[in-house]
Parts: sequence; C-alpha cells; structure tokens
Amino acid sequence: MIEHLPITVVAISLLSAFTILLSGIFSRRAGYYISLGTISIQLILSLFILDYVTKNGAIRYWLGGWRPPWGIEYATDELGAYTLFVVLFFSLVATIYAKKVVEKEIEEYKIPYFYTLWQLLVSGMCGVAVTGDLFNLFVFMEIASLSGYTLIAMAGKRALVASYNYLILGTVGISFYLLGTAFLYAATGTLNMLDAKILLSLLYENKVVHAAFVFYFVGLAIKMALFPLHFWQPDAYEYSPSAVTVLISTAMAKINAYALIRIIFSVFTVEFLERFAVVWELVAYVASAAIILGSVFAIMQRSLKRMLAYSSISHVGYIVLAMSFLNTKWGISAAVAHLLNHSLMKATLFMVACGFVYKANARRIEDVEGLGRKMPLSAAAFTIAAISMIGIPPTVGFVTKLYIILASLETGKLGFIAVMIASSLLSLVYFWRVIEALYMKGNHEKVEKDELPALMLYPALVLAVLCVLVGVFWLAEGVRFLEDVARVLGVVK
Amino acid sequence: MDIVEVFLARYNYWSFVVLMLIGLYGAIAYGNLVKKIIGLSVFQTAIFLLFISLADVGKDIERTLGLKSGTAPIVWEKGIEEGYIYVNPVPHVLVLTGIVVAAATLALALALMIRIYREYGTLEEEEIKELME
Repeated sequence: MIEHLPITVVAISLLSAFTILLSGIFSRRAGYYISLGTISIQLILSLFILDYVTKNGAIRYWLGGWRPPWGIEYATDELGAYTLFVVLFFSLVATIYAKKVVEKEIEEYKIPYFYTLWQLLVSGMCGVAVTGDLFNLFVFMEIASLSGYTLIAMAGKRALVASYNYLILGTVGISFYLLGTAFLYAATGTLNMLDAKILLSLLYENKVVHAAFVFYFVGLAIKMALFPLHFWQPDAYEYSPSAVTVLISTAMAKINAYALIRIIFSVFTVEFLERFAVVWELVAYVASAAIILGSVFAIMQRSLKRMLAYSSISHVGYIVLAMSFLNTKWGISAAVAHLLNHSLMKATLFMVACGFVYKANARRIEDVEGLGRKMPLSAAAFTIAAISMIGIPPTVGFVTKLYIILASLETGKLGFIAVMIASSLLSLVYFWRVIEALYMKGNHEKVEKDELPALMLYPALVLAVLCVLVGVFWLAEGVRFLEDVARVLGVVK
Repeated sequence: MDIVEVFLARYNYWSFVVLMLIGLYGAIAYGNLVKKIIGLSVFQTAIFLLFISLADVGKDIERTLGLKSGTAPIVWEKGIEEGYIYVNPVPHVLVLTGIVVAAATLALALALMIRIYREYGTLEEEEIKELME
C-alpha cells in the first residue's frame, strides 16, 4: 500500500488544482480551503513515505507497471522523501499564511486562479522530489516554473517585468537541463536515473558525458540563482505577492537545489566528480564568492525584502560549497540539512518582512523603525531567525556552518573556515541594521500594540521556535539520518 | 576525411549548434521583449532538432551496416531481416512533450508582454527600466 503513495501525492495535488478551478465558479473563497486540505493530506502522506523509506529503503514505483528502463519510474529514496516532506511542510505553512495577504493584495475575482496556480506549483515541486526519471524531472520542473512565473506576475506593474525576466532566464536554464538530458541520452540511451548511473560508470572519459554534466550544472545553477547567474532573483522576490515570496523563496528555491544534488550524486556519482578535482575546486571558489558577495550586496540594499533576497543568494552558495567537499559525509550533510535550515530561517524572515508591508507599509529598512514596540511578537520571530542566520548556537544556521567547518577540517581545505566566519560577520552587519531599527530607533513613547492577524503571526512564531528546536535535533538525532543520506548518495561507503 | 566532408556528414548537428547560438544570443542580447521571445523559441527548437537527430539512424547505417535507412517505428512486415531498421521512437515522444512545454512558455510570455505593453506603453527594455524608476 505504501508503495503507491509517491504517485498519490502528485496525483491528488494535480486533481485538486482542477477542483479549485471548477469551485471558483461557485465560490471565490473555496479555493483556499481546498488547497489547505489537499496540502495537509499530502503532508501526512509524505510523513508515511519518509517513515517507510528510512526503515525499508527506497520505494521504486513503476508507472503503469512498465519496468524501467522502458517505463517511467518513481524512485523515492531517503533524500527524495525528506525533500518531499520539506517542500510540503513549507507549502502548508505558506498556505496558512497566504489567506489574509492574498485577500489584500490580489483582486477578488482572481483568487480562484491564484490558488489553482498555487496548487500546480506544489504539484510540480512534489513531482520533482519523487521522480526517478530525468525527463520527468524536466516536465515537473516546468509545471512548477510556469505556475511560479504566473504567480509572481499577479502582483501587477513591476512584478510583470520581474516575472518576464525570470521567465526568460528560467527557460534558458531549464533548456540547458534538457540539453544535458539529450547529451546523456546520446551517450547512454536511457533516461532512468538509476540505469544512467550504472551505464555511465563505463563512460567517465566520454566527452559527450562531460558536456552533459556541464549543461546540467549551468542550467540548474541558473534555476537556483547561484551567484553570477542570479540576475532574475532579487526582482522576482521583491515584487511578487507576499505569499508567493514566502513559497518560492523556501520550497521552490530548495527544489532546484535538490535537483542539482540528485543529478550530481545519483546520476554522475562521486567517482566521476573526483576525476575533475580542479573544476570542483573552482566551483568551491565560485560558491565562496557567492557567499561573500551575496552578503555584501545585501548590506548595500535599502529595501528589506531585497536585502533578504540577496541573503538567499549567499545561502545558495552555502549549499553548493557544502556539495563541493566530495568525499566527506559532513559536506553532503551540510547541503542536505541546509535545504531545511535555510527554508526555516528565510520563511520566518520573509513572513515578518511581508507582515511589515501588510500592517505598516514598511518596505525600506528605515520604515520599520520602532515597529519592535508596535509588533513585539513578529519582531521577536524576526530576531530569532536573524540570530539563526548569523549562526549563533544552537540554531539551525549554526548547524550548517558547523558541518561545513567540520568538512573543511576533514578535507584540509582550511580556507573555507575563514569564508564561514566572514559570512557570519557580514550577516551580523546587515541583520543588525534591521534589529537596531526595530528596537532602538523611532520614538520611545508608549505605542498601541498592533499585531499581525493570527493566521500570519502564528506560522512565523512556530517557524522561529523550530529554528532553535531543529538546530538541536540536527546536533542530536539528525546526524544518523544525514549519515544514511550520505550512504545512499554514495558519498561514504 | 576532408574537413568539408566531416562538416557535411553531420550537417544536422552543426545546424543545431548554429541555431542554438543564434537563439541564445537573441534571448540575451536584444532589448526588445518580442525579439527576446523569438530568440528563446529558436533556442528551444534547436534542442528539439538535436533530439530528432539522435533518433535518426539515416545514412550512417546504410554506409556501415548495409541496412536501409530508418523507417517509422510501427509494426510492419519489413523487418531487420530485409535490411530495414526502425527510427528510435523515444526522442520523438520527448520532443512532443518538449514542444507542448515550449508552446506553454511562449503563450505565457506573450500574455505577459500584452500586460507589460498595457502598463508601460512600450516593449523596449531600456524604456521600461526608465519608467520603473
């Protein structure tokens, strides 16, 4: 029975999208509740999958009973099930958060369409997490991307241009991915990831395979906004509707990172990558540049949402840097843990930042002056997440940095410890400005408390608490799970 | 073998490379939003051409194995015994899906362009940037 769950998660999500569209004829408000219900069910199913997979190993589901490599296969291993859970958890939190903001920011007649696309975006992301087929991954990624572009454009004027630029670069990125798939198919004659892994082991010297790898890497680097290819990202995050910012900055950004980890470790394997140690060192330097420069750009911003967008570029650098320590379990552990960690922190920060826009129309950092007194709970959530971003123990931000430092100690690449420390200090600079504005500037007279509505406040508070709890979890119990993932991906024997 | 001969023997792959570069240049370099989309479409179509080239068993098979060039992948009385061979159907199926995705992207881009034109009254990137300030 459990074996059928990966396909069920995707299927009910797609069906729900059409149900929302039809329900829009009768009621404009029904879409929110249908979406909320579907994502809750999906989350519960993903928990069952995660539980089953950690005990019994990967679920391999053959669509229509056609055996791989001819048929399409859904291969959900520890990493896939974990990513599915992360994506659905943040989709659920973002959906709860969405109700009030969407009612304020989107015209009423568009609301059913909004939730239809929202649900399609979630379907696409779930599909990417469960599939074991290279071409299927492309199709699901396009479902997610196309609904993402449309959702961003719903905010109107400026968002239209941001969405258009995202569409151009996103399509170029995904086309590079398709090109990589074409080259891989030319070399191996298969699209199944597990099959390709076996067949590729004979072809590591083949030039076509090298070209395929480069196209995959560049394509997915554009999609996940790795530093020199990030141009679409700040505008897209800043101008999109608040709820969409929360969803795409957490779940959507992570699904692209997941696809990169999946391709690099499950299809090309560590043995292939070790032959190109020089290239991989270069990737580590690019990622370090992303970490440092992302923070520097963040310091230069005056808009709060844009500052957080640039800090996301810095954190994409963390994931890629963590992947570049090929042979140690700490590297991949940091990358996998950061999929959840960064989402936790960034979701809290964006929820509160969008809440400031919702309540006080405060877009710039100097506009939030004194809001620490007016909205104490939201400001507290923001502060906890900011502390986590800086990396003070035992928060989630600290865990990632700890794992990366352990990885660099184990591999002897000590320079990256300096990068970690520098990035912590730079994060301190840009978050301190906001915390200072929240609590220390502005008028000190008694002000009326004017908190966010409960549906927007509580998700942010829960995530802020989780920033600390999950940090403790990774340090205590989570290590064993990360070791399992490292073993499944072939990083440790 | 003569260089020209090498070039001509793989003309479909070369045209893929040329079309892809034209498309990529068009999508990145032009300031006009319509031209960007045209470039993007050329780029995507070039990738489909590559997929189709991979499936084709055409002239090479005639020269090396003495088989007749590829036929449609359907059940047919003439098989490999009579010297006929099928074209690989998988890339065609992939391209079919790819074309649907490309059409959806194009439709969305055109819809966005109409909205941008209504808001800003222009489709030149520079002018839109000025109006956004």
